[in-house]
Formats: sequence, C-alpha cells, structure tokens
Amino acid sequence: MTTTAIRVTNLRKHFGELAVLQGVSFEVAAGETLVLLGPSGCGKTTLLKTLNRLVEPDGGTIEINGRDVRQQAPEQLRRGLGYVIQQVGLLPHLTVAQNVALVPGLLGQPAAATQARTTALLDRLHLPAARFGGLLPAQLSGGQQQRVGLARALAADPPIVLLDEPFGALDPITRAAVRRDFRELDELRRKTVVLVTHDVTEAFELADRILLLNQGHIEQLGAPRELLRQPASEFVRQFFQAEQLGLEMRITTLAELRPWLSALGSAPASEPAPVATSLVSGSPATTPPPAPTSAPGPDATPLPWAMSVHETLGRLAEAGPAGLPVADTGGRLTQGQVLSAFGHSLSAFAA
Amino acid sequence: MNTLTELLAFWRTHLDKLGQQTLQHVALTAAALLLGVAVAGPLGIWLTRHRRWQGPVLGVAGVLQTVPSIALLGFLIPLLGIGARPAILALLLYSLLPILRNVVAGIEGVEPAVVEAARGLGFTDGQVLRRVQLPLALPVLMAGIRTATVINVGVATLAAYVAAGGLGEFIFGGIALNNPAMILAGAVPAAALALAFDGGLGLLERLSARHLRAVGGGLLVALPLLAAGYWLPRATGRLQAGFSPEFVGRADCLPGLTSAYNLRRLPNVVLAPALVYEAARDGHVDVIDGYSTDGRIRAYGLRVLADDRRALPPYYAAPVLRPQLLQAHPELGPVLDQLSGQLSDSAMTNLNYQVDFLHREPRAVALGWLRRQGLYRAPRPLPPGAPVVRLGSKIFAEQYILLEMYAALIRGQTDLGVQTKTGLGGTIICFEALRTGQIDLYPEYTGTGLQVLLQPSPAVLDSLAGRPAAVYGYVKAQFARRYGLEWRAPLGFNNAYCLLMRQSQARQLGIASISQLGQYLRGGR
Repeated sequence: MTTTAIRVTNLRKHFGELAVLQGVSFEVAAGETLVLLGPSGCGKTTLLKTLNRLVEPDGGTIEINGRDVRQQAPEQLRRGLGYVIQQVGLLPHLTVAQNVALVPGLLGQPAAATQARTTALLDRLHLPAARFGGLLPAQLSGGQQQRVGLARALAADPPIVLLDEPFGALDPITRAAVRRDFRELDELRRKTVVLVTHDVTEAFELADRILLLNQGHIEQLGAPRELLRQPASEFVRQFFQAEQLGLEMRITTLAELRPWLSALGSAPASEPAPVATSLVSGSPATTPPPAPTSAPGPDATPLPWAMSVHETLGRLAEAGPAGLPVADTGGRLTQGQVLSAFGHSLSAFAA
Repeated sequence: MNTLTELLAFWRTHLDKLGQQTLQHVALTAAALLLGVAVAGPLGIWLTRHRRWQGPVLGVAGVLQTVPSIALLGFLIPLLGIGARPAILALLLYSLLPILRNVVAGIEGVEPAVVEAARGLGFTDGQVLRRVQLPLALPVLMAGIRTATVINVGVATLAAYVAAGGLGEFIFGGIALNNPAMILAGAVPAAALALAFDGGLGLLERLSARHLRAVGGGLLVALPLLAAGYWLPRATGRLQAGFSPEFVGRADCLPGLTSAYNLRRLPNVVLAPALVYEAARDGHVDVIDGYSTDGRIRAYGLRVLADDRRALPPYYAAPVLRPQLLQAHPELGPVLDQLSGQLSDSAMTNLNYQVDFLHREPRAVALGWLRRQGLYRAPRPLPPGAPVVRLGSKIFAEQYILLEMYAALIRGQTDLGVQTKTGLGGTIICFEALRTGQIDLYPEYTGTGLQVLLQPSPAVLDSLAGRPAAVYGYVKAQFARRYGLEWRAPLGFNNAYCLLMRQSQARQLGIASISQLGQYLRGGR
C-alpha cells in the first residue's frame, strides 16, 4: 500500500491573458519519481513552482502529505522540500560547505550534525569535503556546481525533492555523469521526486511515471512504457517518435526478449512462459517474469531478466560479452543467443 | 615655495583652529552620511520592491542634486535657522542620489537565479535581503556611499557659510582676504579628508567583503563617533556673535577688536557675508559685523555700535582713476571733485536703503540725490567722435549709485561720453581692470586699498594706527608710486566694518558702543 505524497487537484494559473495551467490534477506516490515532461512553454516549470509556492495558482488545491500547502507559511513549506534549479543558484559569497548547510541552518539544526551531513553528502557526490568544502562556487565547474546544488537540496533530508531541469545547462558528457550520480544516489531512491525536463531520454531514464504536459493540460500520465506503447493522443505519439528506438531499448526487458530467444530454438522448456504478447500487442509487462526455476550450474549466475536492453548493452560495452551473466545449455542462454536476440528485436523495432 | 612656507606658518599659528575645523568637518560629513544611509538605504530597498516609484523618487533626488549648494543652504535657513542643522540636512540631500541609485542598481544586479534558489530553499524575504541581496550588492552599495562621502566632504566646506564651521572657514576667509595660503590651509585638509574617508570605506569594504554585518556595524559605530565631535562643548556666553569669514580672519578686524575692547567672552560663529544681517534680524545671533552704510541696518532695525576706541580700520570711499584721464581732459577734475565730502554715513545708508530695500533703480536714486544737492544738469548733446570715459564698479548697490552719480555729472557738465561697466565682481577684478587701462575710474575704499591691495607690513599698519587721514595719505602715495594710479579726495562717508546689534536688544541692554558691549560681556552692570 503506497501513500500519496502530493495531490494536485484542478490546478489553474494564468499569466495575463495566457492560460499556463488549465485544470491539472494528478497524484504522486511516496517514493515515486515523477517526471514533468513537455515542450518549452507547456507550463511544466510553472507547475513545479506551484508545489513550493514560488508561483501561487489562480485556482485548485495542492496537498502535500495530506495537508494543503496554503496552511503553511511559504518559507516553512519550502524548507521541507528540496529544490534544485537549472542555473544552480549557489550563493556566490558562501563556500561550498556553507551552501550545502543552508537549509539545516534555517531549520536550526545543530551545527555538528549539519557538518557531518554536509561532509557525507559531498563525499557521496564525488566532491570530497576536505578538498571542495572550502571553495567558492566560482571555483567549481558546471557539473560540480550542480552536484553541490543537489547536495544542498538534500542536506536537510527532505522527503520530497523538486528539480527544475537540473541537468539542462550541462554539456552532454557532464550531464551523463551527473545524471548517473543522481540515479545511483541512495538518498533519492527513498524520496518522492518531481523533476522537470524537456529531454525525453532523461525522462525515460529517471522516471517511474511521466506526466506529459502540453499547453497547460495533461496529455498523458503513466509509466514510460505506457506513454510509448499506448499513446493517449497523436501528440503523445509524435512527441516520442524521433527517439522511438532509443526509448524502446530503455523499456524493453530481457524477459520480453525471451520469445525471440525461444524462436532460436534453444530455450529450455523449464523456462517461464514466453511473454511475446507484450512486444506485439503492447500490453504492459508490469512485473518481471520469475527467475528460472531449474537448478543453476555450479558457476552460473542467473540472468537478470528485468534488466533493459539499453542497460544490458551498456554492460556489454563496458565489459564485453564476458561481462554478461549467461551460462551454457543447462537451462541457460549462451552469450551468442542473447546477442542475436538483440539483433532480432532491434530489427523488429526498426520495422 | 613661498606659498608653502606661508601655508605651514599659517597652520602653526592656527593649529587649534585647524584641529577644531577638521573635527567639525569630519563630524558634519559623518552625521550627514549616517543619516543619508539611514534614509536612502531603506528607501532604495523599498524602491526595488515598488519599481514604479523608482522614476519619481530618483527624479526628485536628481533634482535635489542639481540645486546649487549655496542656494540650498539659503532655502534651509528660514526653516532650520543657522548652524549644524541646515548644513547636515543639505549634505544629507546631496548624498541621497548616489546612495539610492546604487542601492537600487546593486540589489537589482544580483543574479535572479541566486535569489530564486534562496527563496526556493525557504529563505524569508528578510533573509533573502540580509543574507543574499545585500551581501552581493555590497560593492555597489559601498561605491554609492563612497561617492556620497566625497561629495559631502566637498560640500561641507559651504557649512562655513551657515555657522556650522568646518574647513570652509579657512577657505572662504582666504578668498575674502585674497590670501592663497589661507585658502590652501582649508582646502588641503579637506582634500585629504575626502581621500581618507574614501580610503577608509574602501578598506572596510575589502576587509569584510563577506561580512555585511561587520560593514554595517562598522559604519553604525564609526559614524556617530565621528559625528559626536560636533557636539563637543562649545564656549557659551551672554551674547552670541556671527561674523563673516573676512572679519574673523583679518588682523585689524576681530583680533584687533578683541584685544582693544577685551571681548574675549564673545563666542562667535562664522557666517556667509550675505547671511549675517538676516541672522541678526531673526535672532540667531546677537552681534554681527557689517558695513556702516549698508541699507539693511535701517531696514532690519539694527544699531551700529560706536567704535569709541577707533580700533576698526577706516574705509573712506574715494574715486581712483588713471592720471592719463585728467591729463587728456583737465576739465574733468573739478567735475568729479564736486562730490568730495558731500556724502555722510547716514546719507549713504539712506541711498543704499532705497536701492536694496525699496528696490528703486540706482540711477533714479543717484539723480534724485544730485537734484536735491543742486548738482544735476541735463545731459549735453554729444559731439560726434567725443571721447568716452569708462567707469567701473563692484557689484553692490553703493557702487552702482556712486557710478551713476559720476556718469550724470560727466554727461551734464562735459562734452565726454560715458560708458559704465558694473559687472566687475570684486576688488581684484576692478583694480586689475583699472591698472591695465580697461576702465578709467572706479570708487574704492581706503581700507580695501590698504589691506587687500597694498598689504603693508604690520609695522606700517601700526604706524598708521587706523587714523583716517594717515591711511588715506599712505594709500594715495603708494598707489601713485607703485601703480601710477591717483586717489581723488574722499566722498565723506566711512563704509567701514562695524559691529551691529538689534536696536531693541541694544537699547534693553544699554549698549551703544563697543566699550559698553565689552563691559556687558565681562559681567559689568
């Protein structure tokens, strides 16, 4: 049973004549990562800012942890919500460590605990406090600054974190690195995250669910594979069209490839039932198939069926075919089989 | 080199005054700056949040900046009287624009992303201001305060005109006395003060670039301390005097008077010459210096205190001319001499009064007097190509009147044309114009010729001892010898320095002469 962290009901906002949000309603479950996605000017940043009251809506309600945000002073509300923006906005006259310690300071938390927390966060984000803590923001690269921004948002351990295009200003290589750190940060796994981006690949990489906005209303809200496989409108379909192949590779799991592997004629009978339908018909495969039931060989590692094609390829690229945990015919796939299955599936997607 | 030695000598002999004036100057600047920051700082912050008021408010501050400082002081006197209050208010008004403008520019120049991030983290508006906007705007804020400081140190010299003291006392005294060393004696420390203030604020800014509170605290502690120098106890007495810078500075004026009459218990402040009469009329001061034929003596109900020990130098008016003029036109001499000895002190005071306070034309007043004396003749028709006599005057009523009298006499009794040049600012300008042949005649005073132009040694002054005939004889001889210029016979009146009191007060205290003033001050009677 999941609890609702954020509930937005019929949110409306105008800037003069322009309707920026036209009756937006959605919920975010505790621990979920929701990505607000959409073209420029669709209202996604405005929507995010209504959550911490940097923008006051014209109508509708926002509840956070069951409480209307208007019941709290904006400052009190914001101190409980981590906030990261594209331009980072580190206070240039304070050191890295002082920047990270800002919110705990506002909350009046004891200095020693804050310092320990700051050090731990910076270390985890690959900015060892001993070396970076005393530097001024201007002495850091863009990627380093955004890591500090992230640490600052997490310093007071808020249950909810809001991020507005956090990787938008970074060059592609830095962006990938910071995004990986972000994804791998244990801190964030436990938190409710609302992230704004216009980058569909980023959305698919990070999202549990995606909220696709267009001209102030929700086009579709769902898991990445739902948006891709069951677009609710022509807009949704076209929105992902250019990136279709790459996105498919991110949502397709090895389990879904099993029928193709079976078609090669070497899949043992003891393996779980094929899920080919999920590829052909597009029905959601919400739960990964159970692990193979037959006893593994002495050196075998079970194949991680829930892993996406994209990630599998990533591991292949890193460690070569040997890095892929496959075994021989004793109820297992060979590396060759997996690779050829990839080839089949890719050509199927491309068709 | 010579000026430098004189400057050092002047400082040595006026060390106590130098210290007092510097202290006053620092205090005025600091007080105005403190108030300026206190007013313009919050106002500027308010303007960043109410942007549509920026145009009107900065516009008003800009207009204030363009009001000439002496005029601003003039406006403030009726409201605030004389002394530190109008001076500090004027300085405050001048410091508004630079501080306001830089507060607005500094706060609005802070990167919007930083402000948004701070708000997003949960800073209150006040915390955003104190911990983000003000620290980041600090260099710009300080630049504005430093600009205001330098302006204030400069304008504070004018405080000497409203009895607020400061280094302007030396400067304006020096200008009045044509004494470069005395001007420098005030100007050099004023310039040094400007640099010191600017440097001090710069140091404060650099030392604590990251510590807004330290800067603010530093200013809040330092400025009142500096300003407090102004309220050091001052001498008080039964009467308060207000004197013009020249009167205070000249050896034969206040210092001579003080020793001759033992006036040591007469505390005085320095005022602009234009303001002393009003200050006396309005009761801000009780005793002033003035010119004995000034029309305001009558207009304001003031009493001239008799100089019964003849301590003040005589200032008998007489025409000074180029001898070439009389060589070419011998008939002119007797015409000009018709005025000799004809104008008494009271007659001249009356004529001045008509021009200064009844706002009659100097020419009408001059012709009216000539008619009553039977000296007026209708102008003769000018023969073609008639030579022209060029008459000059300084810019005040008495000189205009005298000039019109001479012009009418020449037009009515000779065949010469007359050209009048009444725009010659001061003694030096008139004198140089005459010496270099740009004018032929102007009315001068024996005391001015002696003190301002000839500047004889103290020994010579002693020997003259303020005797009118001796001074006239000396001036006449020296002008002829040194400059080849001729003094004609005096007109009769003595437009000398004098001490003045309000008639009502003088009568009540029974003071008619400077001796009686001295007795009163010493507690007699």
